[in-house]
Amino acid sequence: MSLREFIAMGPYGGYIWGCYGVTVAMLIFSAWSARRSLREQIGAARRRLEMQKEGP
Amino acid sequence: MWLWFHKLSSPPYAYRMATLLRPWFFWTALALIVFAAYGGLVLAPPDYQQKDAFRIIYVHAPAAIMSLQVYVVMAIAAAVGVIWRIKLAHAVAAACAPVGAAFTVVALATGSIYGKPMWGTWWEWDPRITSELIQLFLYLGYMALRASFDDTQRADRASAILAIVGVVNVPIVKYSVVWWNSLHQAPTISKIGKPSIELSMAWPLYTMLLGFMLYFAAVLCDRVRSEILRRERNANWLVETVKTS
Repeated sequence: MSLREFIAMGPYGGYIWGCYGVTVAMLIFSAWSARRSLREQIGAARRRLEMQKEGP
Repeated sequence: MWLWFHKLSSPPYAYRMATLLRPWFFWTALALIVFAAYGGLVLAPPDYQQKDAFRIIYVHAPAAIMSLQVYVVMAIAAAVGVIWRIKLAHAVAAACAPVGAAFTVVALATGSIYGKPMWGTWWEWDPRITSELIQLFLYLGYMALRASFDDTQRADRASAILAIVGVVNVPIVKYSVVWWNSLHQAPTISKIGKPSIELSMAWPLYTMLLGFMLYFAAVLCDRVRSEILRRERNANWLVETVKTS
């Protein structure tokens, strides 16, 4: 089987690669957004605790 | 058992465990997903009816199974939170929703793309598809309900009720293809004792499902940590934790 045949997947290449693309994109986005909100929360907690230390 | 349960439900312990376990879950999940995709796209033979198009099943079915499983985890966590008043359980429930919604979107989108060459239509108001769409609205409704409260405790209680009531949709999605005449094909792997699929086609499916489960666990670790940080605003243990992470 040639690479061209593999990518074409008969007449279904677009559908199959579309599905795998959607899945990979969503997996990356979901993991990234969880990481990002964790970073934000850690940053916020750090700032809050520093303010408390300096505070009255 | 109870001692372990008690320890686990303490936020500092859970926070540390989530930090520790996350890379293991994540990298194992990644390896399994890549391996399963290779198995599904390259190694598995084409289906005699659906030809190569059946390869979509390797992302579609595991994502759809996860869309229900994550919901069950979320509803159980919410119920534990309400019954035993464990704050961490509410944090877990809240952390589940975005991941579950993502899996539901994948199930619907890949199902729609799968439907075009197989059934000749992108969308049909079919029992399976409609109930899965309701599943997505349950996740989105849950997140919107949480976001509408400023007070975390009230958000926890109100959203828990929605999560618990919404669980009735899970068997509806699961058995929709059995109860009603549906365009959707009947389950392939869950037939007890006699799955109607060859091993060479089945193993990438199970591997992908396991990969998705571990991926969910990894993302849940991050999201639970976020939730804990939001809730334990002034706890002493945070000082050390935040410094090092």
